[in-house]
Amino acid sequence: MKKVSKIFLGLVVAIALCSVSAEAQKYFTRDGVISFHSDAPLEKIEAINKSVTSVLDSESGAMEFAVLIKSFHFEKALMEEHFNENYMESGKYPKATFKGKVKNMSDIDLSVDGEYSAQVSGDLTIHGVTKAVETIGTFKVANGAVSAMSKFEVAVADYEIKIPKVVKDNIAEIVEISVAIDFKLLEQ
Amino acid sequence: MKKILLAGLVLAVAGIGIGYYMWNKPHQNIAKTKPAHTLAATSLVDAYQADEAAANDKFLGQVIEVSGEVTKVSMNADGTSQVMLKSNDLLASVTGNLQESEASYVESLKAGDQVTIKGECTGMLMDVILERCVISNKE
Repeated sequence: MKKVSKIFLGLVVAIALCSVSAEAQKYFTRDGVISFHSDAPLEKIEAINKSVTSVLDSESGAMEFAVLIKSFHFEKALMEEHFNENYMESGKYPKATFKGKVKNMSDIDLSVDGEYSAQVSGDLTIHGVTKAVETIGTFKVANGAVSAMSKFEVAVADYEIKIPKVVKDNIAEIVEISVAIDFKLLEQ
Repeated sequence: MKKILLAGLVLAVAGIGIGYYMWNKPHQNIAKTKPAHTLAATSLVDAYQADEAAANDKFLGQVIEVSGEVTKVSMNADGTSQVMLKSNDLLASVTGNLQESEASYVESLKAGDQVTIKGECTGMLMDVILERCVISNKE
Protein backbone atom coordinates (compact mmCIF):
# COMPACT_ATOMS: atom_id res chain seq x y z
CA MET A 1 0.00 0.00 0.00
CA LYS A 2 2.81 2.44 1.00
CA LYS A 3 4.64 1.78 -2.29
CA VAL A 4 1.50 2.46 -4.32
CA SER A 5 0.88 5.75 -2.48
CA LYS A 6 4.47 6.82 -3.12
CA ILE A 7 4.13 6.10 -6.82
CA PHE A 8 0.77 7.85 -6.90
CA LEU A 9 2.24 10.91 -5.16
CA GLY A 10 5.14 10.87 -7.57
CA LEU A 11 2.72 10.80 -10.50
CA VAL A 12 0.64 13.67 -9.12
CA VAL A 13 3.73 15.81 -8.62
CA ALA A 14 4.98 14.94 -12.11
CA ILE A 15 1.65 15.87 -13.71
CA ALA A 16 1.47 19.08 -11.66
CA LEU A 17 4.95 20.04 -12.85
CA CYS A 18 4.00 19.25 -16.44
CA SER A 19 0.94 21.44 -16.35
CA VAL A 20 2.98 24.34 -14.98
CA SER A 21 5.52 24.14 -17.81
CA ALA A 22 2.76 23.61 -20.38
CA GLU A 23 1.82 27.25 -19.77
CA ALA A 24 5.12 28.35 -21.25
CA GLN A 25 4.80 28.78 -24.98
CA LYS A 26 7.03 30.18 -27.66
CA TYR A 27 5.30 32.46 -30.14
CA PHE A 28 6.78 33.35 -33.50
CA THR A 29 6.21 35.21 -36.74
CA ARG A 30 8.03 35.92 -40.02
CA ASP A 31 5.49 38.46 -41.27
CA GLY A 32 5.41 41.07 -38.53
CA VAL A 33 4.82 44.65 -39.63
CA ILE A 34 6.93 47.60 -38.57
CA SER A 35 6.31 51.02 -40.02
CA PHE A 36 7.80 54.37 -39.26
CA HIS A 37 6.65 57.87 -39.70
CA SER A 38 8.50 61.15 -39.72
CA ASP A 39 6.72 64.49 -39.79
CA ALA A 40 9.07 67.27 -40.77
CA PRO A 41 8.24 70.87 -41.75
CA LEU A 42 8.52 70.17 -45.46
CA GLU A 43 7.55 66.57 -45.76
CA LYS A 44 5.84 63.54 -44.38
CA ILE A 45 7.87 60.35 -44.66
CA GLU A 46 6.39 56.90 -44.24
CA ALA A 47 7.81 53.44 -44.75
CA ILE A 48 6.59 49.94 -44.02
CA ASN A 49 8.29 46.58 -43.56
CA LYS A 50 6.16 43.43 -43.65
CA SER A 51 8.92 40.86 -43.22
CA VAL A 52 9.69 41.30 -39.53
CA THR A 53 10.67 38.18 -37.57
CA SER A 54 9.82 38.02 -33.92
CA VAL A 55 9.96 35.48 -31.11
CA LEU A 56 8.23 35.66 -27.74
CA ASP A 57 8.69 33.30 -24.79
CA SER A 58 5.55 33.57 -22.68
CA GLU A 59 7.24 32.11 -19.63
CA SER A 60 10.34 34.29 -19.35
CA GLY A 61 8.89 37.24 -21.28
CA ALA A 62 11.94 37.23 -23.54
CA MET A 63 11.13 38.98 -26.78
CA GLU A 64 13.19 39.52 -29.92
CA PHE A 65 12.67 41.28 -33.25
CA ALA A 66 14.79 41.40 -36.37
CA VAL A 67 14.19 43.44 -39.52
CA LEU A 68 16.03 43.79 -42.81
CA ILE A 69 16.49 47.48 -43.60
CA LYS A 70 16.19 46.95 -47.34
CA SER A 71 12.74 45.47 -46.80
CA PHE A 72 11.33 48.87 -45.80
CA HIS A 73 9.15 50.11 -48.64
CA PHE A 74 8.61 53.77 -49.39
CA GLU A 75 6.20 55.16 -51.95
CA LYS A 76 8.94 57.26 -53.50
CA ALA A 77 11.86 55.32 -55.00
CA LEU A 78 14.21 58.25 -54.43
CA MET A 79 13.35 58.37 -50.73
CA GLU A 80 13.95 54.63 -50.41
CA GLU A 81 17.32 55.04 -52.11
CA HIS A 82 18.40 57.89 -49.83
CA PHE A 83 17.16 56.03 -46.78
CA ASN A 84 19.26 52.97 -47.65
CA GLU A 85 22.35 54.59 -49.10
CA ASN A 86 22.75 57.85 -47.19
CA TYR A 87 21.03 57.48 -43.82
CA MET A 88 20.86 53.84 -42.79
CA GLU A 89 23.88 52.67 -44.84
CA SER A 90 22.04 49.37 -45.20
CA GLY A 91 24.84 47.83 -47.26
CA LYS A 92 26.97 48.06 -44.12
CA TYR A 93 24.21 47.46 -41.56
CA PRO A 94 21.59 45.29 -43.25
CA LYS A 95 19.60 44.58 -40.07
CA ALA A 96 18.01 46.27 -37.11
CA THR A 97 17.31 44.15 -34.02
CA PHE A 98 15.62 44.31 -30.64
CA LYS A 99 16.54 41.90 -27.84
CA GLY A 100 14.67 42.37 -24.62
CA LYS A 101 11.89 41.23 -22.40
CA VAL A 102 8.41 41.95 -21.21
CA LYS A 103 9.09 43.02 -17.62
CA ASN A 104 5.58 42.30 -16.36
CA MET A 105 5.14 38.95 -18.14
CA SER A 106 4.05 37.30 -14.87
CA ASP A 107 0.97 39.58 -14.91
CA ILE A 108 0.04 38.50 -18.44
CA ASP A 109 -1.74 35.25 -19.25
CA LEU A 110 -1.73 34.75 -23.00
CA SER A 111 -3.97 31.70 -22.73
CA VAL A 112 -6.86 33.94 -21.68
CA ASP A 113 -8.56 36.27 -24.17
CA GLY A 114 -8.19 39.94 -23.36
CA GLU A 115 -5.93 42.96 -23.73
CA TYR A 116 -2.81 43.27 -21.64
CA SER A 117 -0.49 46.22 -21.18
CA ALA A 118 3.15 45.21 -21.47
CA GLN A 119 6.24 46.99 -20.19
CA VAL A 120 9.02 46.13 -22.57
CA SER A 121 12.70 46.91 -22.15
CA GLY A 122 15.78 45.81 -24.02
CA ASP A 123 18.51 46.66 -26.47
CA LEU A 124 17.61 48.25 -29.78
CA THR A 125 20.29 48.12 -32.45
CA ILE A 126 19.96 50.37 -35.49
CA HIS A 127 22.71 51.41 -37.88
CA GLY A 128 25.21 49.38 -35.86
CA VAL A 129 24.47 51.36 -32.67
CA THR A 130 22.88 49.68 -29.63
CA LYS A 131 20.85 51.61 -27.10
CA ALA A 132 18.79 50.50 -24.10
CA VAL A 133 15.13 51.35 -24.63
CA GLU A 134 11.93 51.06 -22.64
CA THR A 135 8.44 51.22 -23.99
CA ILE A 136 4.84 50.20 -23.46
CA GLY A 137 3.06 47.75 -25.71
CA THR A 138 -0.21 45.88 -25.79
CA PHE A 139 -0.88 42.18 -26.15
CA LYS A 140 -4.27 41.26 -27.49
CA VAL A 141 -5.56 37.71 -27.23
CA ALA A 142 -8.72 37.00 -29.22
CA ASN A 143 -10.01 33.43 -29.68
CA GLY A 144 -6.59 32.21 -28.62
CA ALA A 145 -4.71 34.24 -31.27
CA VAL A 146 -1.97 36.41 -29.81
CA SER A 147 -1.01 39.75 -31.32
CA ALA A 148 1.19 42.57 -30.09
CA MET A 149 1.37 46.25 -30.88
CA SER A 150 3.46 49.17 -29.82
CA LYS A 151 4.23 52.73 -30.82
CA PHE A 152 7.37 54.46 -29.67
CA GLU A 153 9.69 57.27 -30.66
CA VAL A 154 13.32 57.13 -31.63
CA ALA A 155 15.71 60.05 -31.95
CA VAL A 156 17.54 59.56 -35.21
CA ALA A 157 20.76 61.07 -33.90
CA ASP A 158 20.96 58.47 -31.08
CA TYR A 159 21.84 55.88 -33.69
CA GLU A 160 24.44 58.06 -35.42
CA ILE A 161 22.16 58.52 -38.40
CA LYS A 162 23.35 61.71 -39.97
CA ILE A 163 20.87 64.00 -41.62
CA PRO A 164 22.65 66.63 -43.71
CA LYS A 165 21.68 70.23 -42.97
CA VAL A 166 20.40 70.59 -46.54
CA VAL A 167 17.55 68.17 -45.97
CA LYS A 168 17.10 68.84 -42.26
CA ASP A 169 13.67 70.36 -42.83
CA ASN A 170 12.60 67.34 -44.83
CA ILE A 171 13.40 64.75 -42.20
CA ALA A 172 12.30 64.90 -38.60
CA GLU A 173 14.79 64.34 -35.81
CA ILE A 174 12.28 62.14 -34.02
CA VAL A 175 10.76 59.19 -35.83
CA GLU A 176 7.66 57.38 -34.65
CA ILE A 177 7.89 53.60 -34.99
CA SER A 178 4.79 51.38 -35.01
CA VAL A 179 4.94 47.66 -34.45
CA ALA A 180 2.10 45.24 -35.25
CA ILE A 181 2.75 41.52 -34.86
CA ASP A 182 0.39 38.56 -35.26
CA PHE A 183 2.05 35.69 -33.45
CA LYS A 184 1.70 31.99 -34.19
CA LEU A 185 2.47 29.24 -31.71
CA LEU A 186 5.89 27.81 -32.41
CA GLU A 187 5.52 24.08 -32.84
CA GLN A 188 8.52 22.32 -31.34
CA MET B 1 22.21 89.77 -72.57
CA LYS B 2 19.03 88.25 -73.93
CA LYS B 3 20.96 85.11 -74.92
CA ILE B 4 22.27 84.66 -71.39
CA LEU B 5 18.79 85.10 -69.93
CA LEU B 6 17.38 82.58 -72.38
CA ALA B 7 20.15 80.08 -71.64
CA GLY B 8 19.53 80.58 -67.93
CA LEU B 9 15.82 80.00 -68.37
CA VAL B 10 16.38 76.81 -70.37
CA LEU B 11 18.76 75.52 -67.69
CA ALA B 12 16.29 76.36 -64.95
CA VAL B 13 13.45 74.56 -66.71
CA ALA B 14 15.71 71.57 -67.40
CA GLY B 15 16.74 71.56 -63.76
CA ILE B 16 13.15 71.63 -62.59
CA GLY B 17 12.27 68.90 -65.06
CA ILE B 18 15.10 66.64 -63.89
CA GLY B 19 14.28 67.37 -60.27
CA TYR B 20 10.63 66.53 -60.87
CA TYR B 21 11.55 63.30 -62.62
CA MET B 22 13.95 62.27 -59.85
CA TRP B 23 11.42 63.13 -57.20
CA ASN B 24 8.78 61.03 -58.89
CA LYS B 25 11.01 58.41 -60.42
CA PRO B 26 9.50 54.93 -60.38
CA HIS B 27 10.87 52.02 -58.44
CA GLN B 28 13.27 49.84 -60.39
CA ASN B 29 11.46 47.79 -63.02
CA ILE B 30 12.42 44.32 -61.80
CA ALA B 31 10.75 42.58 -64.74
CA LYS B 32 13.02 44.43 -67.16
CA THR B 33 16.21 44.14 -65.05
CA LYS B 34 18.81 41.55 -65.92
CA PRO B 35 19.56 39.58 -62.74
CA ALA B 36 23.03 39.95 -61.24
CA HIS B 37 22.92 36.25 -60.29
CA THR B 38 20.81 33.24 -61.23
CA LEU B 39 20.83 30.30 -58.86
CA ALA B 40 18.84 27.62 -57.08
CA ALA B 41 17.05 28.44 -53.83
CA THR B 42 19.02 25.65 -52.13
CA SER B 43 22.32 27.25 -53.21
CA LEU B 44 21.23 30.69 -52.05
CA VAL B 45 20.36 29.51 -48.55
CA ASP B 46 23.53 27.36 -48.40
CA ALA B 47 25.60 30.43 -49.28
CA TYR B 48 23.98 32.53 -46.53
CA GLN B 49 24.33 29.80 -43.93
CA ALA B 50 27.97 29.21 -44.81
CA ASP B 51 29.01 32.86 -44.59
CA GLU B 52 26.37 35.56 -44.17
CA ALA B 53 28.75 38.50 -44.66
CA ALA B 54 30.16 37.05 -47.88
CA ALA B 55 26.67 36.24 -49.14
CA ASN B 56 25.53 39.81 -48.41
CA ASP B 57 28.57 41.14 -50.29
CA LYS B 58 27.44 39.12 -53.25
CA PHE B 59 23.64 39.33 -53.13
CA LEU B 60 22.48 42.17 -50.86
CA GLY B 61 20.69 44.89 -52.81
CA GLN B 62 21.06 42.96 -56.07
CA VAL B 63 18.28 41.78 -58.36
CA ILE B 64 18.69 38.00 -58.43
CA GLU B 65 16.80 35.17 -60.06
CA VAL B 66 16.10 32.13 -57.87
CA SER B 67 14.53 28.77 -58.79
CA GLY B 68 13.12 26.19 -56.47
CA GLU B 69 10.28 24.09 -55.17
CA VAL B 70 7.35 25.90 -53.64
CA THR B 71 6.60 24.98 -50.02
CA LYS B 72 4.01 27.66 -49.29
CA VAL B 73 1.94 30.23 -51.15
CA SER B 74 0.04 33.10 -49.54
CA MET B 75 -2.04 35.93 -50.94
CA ASN B 76 -2.24 39.25 -49.08
CA ALA B 77 -5.28 41.51 -48.86
CA ASP B 78 -3.54 44.28 -50.83
CA GLY B 79 -2.87 42.11 -53.91
CA THR B 80 0.74 41.31 -53.05
CA SER B 81 1.64 37.67 -52.43
CA GLN B 82 4.38 35.51 -51.06
CA VAL B 83 5.98 32.22 -52.04
CA MET B 84 8.40 30.22 -49.96
CA LEU B 85 10.99 28.04 -51.66
CA LYS B 86 12.55 24.92 -50.21
CA SER B 87 16.15 24.82 -49.09
CA ASN B 88 18.43 22.12 -47.70
CA ASP B 89 17.47 23.29 -44.21
CA LEU B 90 14.02 22.46 -42.83
CA LEU B 91 13.91 25.72 -40.89
CA ALA B 92 15.08 28.11 -43.62
CA SER B 93 13.60 29.04 -46.98
CA VAL B 94 13.85 31.63 -49.70
CA THR B 95 10.88 33.95 -49.19
CA GLY B 96 9.78 35.89 -52.26
CA ASN B 97 7.44 38.86 -51.70
CA LEU B 98 5.73 39.37 -55.05
CA GLN B 99 4.33 42.46 -56.75
CA GLU B 100 0.59 42.92 -57.28
CA SER B 101 1.07 42.27 -61.02
CA GLU B 102 1.95 38.63 -60.26
CA ALA B 103 -1.18 37.83 -58.27
CA SER B 104 -2.96 35.88 -61.02
CA TYR B 105 0.13 33.71 -61.63
CA VAL B 106 0.66 33.11 -57.93
CA GLU B 107 -2.95 32.03 -57.43
CA SER B 108 -2.32 28.99 -59.61
CA LEU B 109 0.85 27.98 -57.71
CA LYS B 110 0.80 25.23 -55.12
CA ALA B 111 3.27 23.43 -52.88
CA GLY B 112 5.52 21.13 -54.89
CA ASP B 113 5.53 23.31 -58.03
CA GLN B 114 8.82 24.49 -59.50
CA VAL B 115 9.01 28.26 -59.88
CA THR B 116 11.59 30.88 -60.79
CA ILE B 117 11.31 34.29 -59.16
CA LYS B 118 13.32 37.46 -59.68
CA GLY B 119 13.56 40.20 -57.08
CA GLU B 120 15.83 42.32 -54.91
CA CYS B 121 17.68 40.40 -52.20
CA THR B 122 17.37 42.20 -48.87
CA GLY B 123 19.32 39.73 -46.74
CA MET B 124 18.60 36.88 -44.37
CA LEU B 125 16.76 36.69 -41.06
CA MET B 126 15.25 33.18 -40.71
CA ASP B 127 14.91 33.02 -44.50
CA VAL B 128 16.61 34.75 -47.39
CA ILE B 129 14.19 37.47 -48.45
CA LEU B 130 13.56 38.76 -51.97
CA GLU B 131 11.38 41.86 -52.44
CA ARG B 132 9.28 43.28 -55.31
CA CYS B 133 9.49 39.91 -57.09
CA VAL B 134 8.14 38.87 -60.46
CA ILE B 135 7.73 35.32 -61.68
CA SER B 136 10.25 34.54 -64.39
CA ASN B 137 8.94 31.29 -65.82
CA LYS B 138 5.46 32.35 -66.77
CA GLU B 139 3.82 30.28 -69.47
